[in-house]
Amino acid sequence: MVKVTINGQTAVTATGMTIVEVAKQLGIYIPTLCYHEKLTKIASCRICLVEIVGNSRLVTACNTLVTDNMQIITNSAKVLAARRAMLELLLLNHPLDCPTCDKAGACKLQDLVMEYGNDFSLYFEGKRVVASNNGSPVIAKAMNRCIHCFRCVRFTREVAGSDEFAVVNSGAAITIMPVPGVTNSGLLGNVIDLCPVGAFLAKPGAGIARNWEVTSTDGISPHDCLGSNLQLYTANDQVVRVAARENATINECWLSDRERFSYEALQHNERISQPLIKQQGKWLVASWDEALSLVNHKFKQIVNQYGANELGGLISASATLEEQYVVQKYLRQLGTNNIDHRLWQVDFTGQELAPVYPSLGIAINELEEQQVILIIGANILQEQPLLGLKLRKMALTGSKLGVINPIDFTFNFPVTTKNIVACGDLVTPLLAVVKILLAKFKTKVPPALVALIAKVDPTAEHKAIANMLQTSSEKKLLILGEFAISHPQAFLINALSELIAHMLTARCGTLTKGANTAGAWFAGCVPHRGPGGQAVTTTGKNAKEMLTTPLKAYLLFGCEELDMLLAKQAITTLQQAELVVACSCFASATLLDLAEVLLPIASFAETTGTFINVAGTWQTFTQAIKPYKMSLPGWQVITQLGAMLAMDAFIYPTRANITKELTKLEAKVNDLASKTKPYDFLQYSFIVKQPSLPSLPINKLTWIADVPIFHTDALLRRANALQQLAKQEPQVAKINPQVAVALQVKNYDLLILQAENGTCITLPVYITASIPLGSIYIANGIKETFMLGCPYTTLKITVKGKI
Amino acid sequence: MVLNSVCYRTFQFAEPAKLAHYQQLGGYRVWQQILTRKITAEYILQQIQDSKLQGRGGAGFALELKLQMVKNKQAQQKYVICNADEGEPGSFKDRDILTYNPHQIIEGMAIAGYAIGATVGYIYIRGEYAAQIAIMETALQEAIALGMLGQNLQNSGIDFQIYCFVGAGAYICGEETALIASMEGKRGQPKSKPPFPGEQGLYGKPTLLNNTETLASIPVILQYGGKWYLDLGVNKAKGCKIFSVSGAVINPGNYETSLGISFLELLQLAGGMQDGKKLKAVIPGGISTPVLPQDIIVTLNMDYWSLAQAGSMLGTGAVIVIAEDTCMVQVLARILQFYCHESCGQCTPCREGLSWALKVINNILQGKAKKTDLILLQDIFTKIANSSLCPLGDSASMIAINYFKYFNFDFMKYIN
Repeated sequence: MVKVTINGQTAVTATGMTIVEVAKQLGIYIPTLCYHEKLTKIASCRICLVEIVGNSRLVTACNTLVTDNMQIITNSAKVLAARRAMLELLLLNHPLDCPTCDKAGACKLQDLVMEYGNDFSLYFEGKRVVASNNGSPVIAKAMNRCIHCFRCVRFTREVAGSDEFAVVNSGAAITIMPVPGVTNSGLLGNVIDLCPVGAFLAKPGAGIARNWEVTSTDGISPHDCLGSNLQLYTANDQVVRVAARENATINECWLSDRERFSYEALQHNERISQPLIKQQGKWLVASWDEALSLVNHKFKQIVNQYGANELGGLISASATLEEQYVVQKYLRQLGTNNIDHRLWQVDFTGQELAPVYPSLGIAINELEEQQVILIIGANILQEQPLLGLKLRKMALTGSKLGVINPIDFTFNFPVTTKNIVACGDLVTPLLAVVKILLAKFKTKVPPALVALIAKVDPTAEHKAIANMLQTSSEKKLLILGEFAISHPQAFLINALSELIAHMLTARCGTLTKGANTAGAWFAGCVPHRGPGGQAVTTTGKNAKEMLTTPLKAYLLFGCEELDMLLAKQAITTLQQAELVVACSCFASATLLDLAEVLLPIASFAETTGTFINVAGTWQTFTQAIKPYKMSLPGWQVITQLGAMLAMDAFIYPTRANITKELTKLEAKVNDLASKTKPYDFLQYSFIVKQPSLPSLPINKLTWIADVPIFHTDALLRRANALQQLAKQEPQVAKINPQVAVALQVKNYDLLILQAENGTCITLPVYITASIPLGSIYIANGIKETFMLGCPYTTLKITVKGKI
Repeated sequence: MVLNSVCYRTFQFAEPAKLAHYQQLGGYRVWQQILTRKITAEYILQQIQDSKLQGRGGAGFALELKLQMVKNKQAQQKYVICNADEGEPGSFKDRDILTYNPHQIIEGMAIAGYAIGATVGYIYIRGEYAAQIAIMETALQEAIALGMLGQNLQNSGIDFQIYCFVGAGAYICGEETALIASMEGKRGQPKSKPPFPGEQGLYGKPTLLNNTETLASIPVILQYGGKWYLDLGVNKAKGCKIFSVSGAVINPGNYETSLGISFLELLQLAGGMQDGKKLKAVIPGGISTPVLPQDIIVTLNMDYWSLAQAGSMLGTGAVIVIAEDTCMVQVLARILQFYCHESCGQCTPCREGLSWALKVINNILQGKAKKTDLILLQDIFTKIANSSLCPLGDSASMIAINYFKYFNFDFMKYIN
């Protein structure tokens, strides 16, 4: 402990603290520009110069460590003169274009000059002019305003590990430039928050509102399962800017580009402005009363005519907890249990034994404390860029990270050991690891599993992973990602991971899709359980069953065809239904074709609700702007439907009444969670289809797919700037170099791909060693490729122009 | 007064860089004694302490203290770096050591490395010294062949290996933290100290970083003893120093002579003033040291203390002699131009302040300035002073003061 005096105020603090940190504790303000608590301290702006008694030279408070009996003065004439001098020097080459700068009003430099600076300048020379490469669709650069604090450079280098910016030239000509050819980390938008001046600003929403005209509201991201905290800035009932809101336990002070720029979709021209009813194939505008009574009437009619079992509900995993709850309540009171949100899953085996809601198994901020992590089937940087930051932090401290993936994805962190599986076969490595571990742990396993294990022959890679997992450390975690969730053997993968975790006393968690998968499970948006994990009398149809065998009527809540893994089949199935009612923000062409009634609901910024994140944290957010035109918050639409039918307990004056009801269920959940030991999964018998490596020459490859980051939901698909970013990477079919040799193709030759369902599409080929033999990578969930059907099926490859 | 007897002692031969000549003078004998365990690290430190050798790169930090600091740090790996990034305008002394006595640098690094417990050394040579890089590489090969560098040398259990690292010619990379950053593959720009390189240097390991002349003096000090070296100085000064004399003298060049000789003696060594011109001023230690006018410098001895008393510094010993017909405003403008060009651009005062000062002084030179501009110029330097991150910005503002103090009349010629 050291005793430090700042401006006469004494503090006793731990050693190793900087003057700025101690001053903050004492409530003494020291201005800073280049200093940022999450970045290295470089002391380059020299604004934080302070005086230490007995020291003739001023020191920078941001990086000087306090020593015992240090006496610091932050407001002497000498310090103030230095501060003023630094500001004067910083302004020499600053364009002072505050009237046209979006940063004005929230600019650190402006604030400091206001506080300490002069209102005149002694500088009459020309100012530095720097060219700004303004190619980015999301970031507006004005490098003339740059004051060279290097926060952006340090962020990309230290935090994101992406090296997107570099410093070039020296002296007064020093410039920060984007590095050509560096792949977008999906985190670049953070430089907008970091930049203390207006050198980096958001391109979407530029020039719409000044900082003193905007209102800020706390929000929660509607896309990521972490529940990143947002600050929504609104003006004239429009979201004009989104920034990161600090939450030490979740997103720290970062935000991914997906979260930051998706708000653009709120003004998309596909938004539905009022309820629509289709009559003789034509869409007519209706009042809410008309539309709602029509929906109720038609649903009742279907139920009466065909039975409630002919009614199904598909609910978005990104809807709020309250919406999900009232939707399932409404459907269940209509008499059906055909309710599901798992639109990205094809294997529903063992759902009865699943925990009440899926989770990561640990708090998000505990991730960086883990000593061993095994990632199974996840492209972290595409799925959850912010989680990648945590893993990077963890890996850089020397912890071990293993990967079992169907494709050799690039990460921004070092990987200890990896196993890239051919043909998307995630099962074999897990079986192999189980086999290795069983030799040591003698855990009792079901006979079905013993038979499976006997067939597996562990390779060196499998042994490396098993070795890594056996490192003696307390904090181990297995993470299942998108490739594991939508795998046809999803249950087995999950079960084996749980078994491994059980043997090693590690934890096993899932990186769920959507913002509120945990909420959907909890709210009861599953066919086999009611809200809070309560049992139901009969298990309803799951998403796959509903989308493959036509029902008479469907209620789609917040989802459209591209939200479904079986999109192609879903369209055919829904076309055969008598009635499709869609509650949606947007009307896609397909939805306009399929639906009979369209009910416009409010988006994430226009409503209030709760998301449960992947760590089980409930986060309630408030409404930032009014719902778009005539649209209503989703929970209101459904509660009105329920109330009109005089359904049981369907009077909810406010959203909070629903939340209250849900919180009451929470206590019960904890009991249930402890009862459901995931390890019991293995009592089930299961069938494994082990894909084998096809022999060359190859004309059949297993289709490996995930959904690109900017296509994962309806909002993102309509966010203009993000779509422009997405277009920078053209859609290609990626294959292994050896396969390319066998097929005699070179980059960007056209391939004709024939899916198992008969559909053919043509895509340019891209050859990369990151794709293993036997696999072909084509992004899914996008207009160009969704018709191929379901991933992990076989595609027949023909080279265009060759027979 | 002695001449060319330490770092330049091979000058007596026609082919000074030859290994045989160096050995003839007793070269590698000390290192050989270390390898046969006849000399201990304590003995080395004692001799260095006795010699009172100060860093010859400009700052003049006592070598013995630096060695102690690195020696006392516990680390698996330590490094020795020889700073041969001789960038100080006016200084060209290290070039001649590299050219004519490369083996003495190697031996000096090896001895220092042994004393502190380092096993790897790097010679950071500026890229412009292409010929010297080749000489150094040859010398390193010779030393390896001789069994003076490598692993487990002569079965002594002592390892020492030296590598050449070629800089890219940035002045700032002569600053120790910038030099290390550049060696690590980063942008060559200084970092705040502490931590000092002696604590966390190259790759975060304790590093002894010294000037070429300092390291090259070590073998001679150990060969003849610290006391012998001490006595090379005259007029109360200790040791020996290379002076790179340039400017308006008849025989510009390097003179390795006793510390403490009077300026006039040094001028005499360099053949006196060119074309019989009168002396106007002298920059005694490279452009980063304050200029001294004729009437002051002629009374001074060339040593650390005397120059400091007169408000200047010995620096690297680069003596720039300025004759009566030189305009001091132009001198300052040229120096500022150099600093602006070489500023890394990292910290505010150096990046913004120096280029402003250069613009103002150019206005003065072009006759566009008013008297207030002279005040403004001095004001800019006050703002830069003591606020920049590394010594570059600080020294630029520090040296400027003397130009106004002693040569105000030169400035007034340009003011309307």
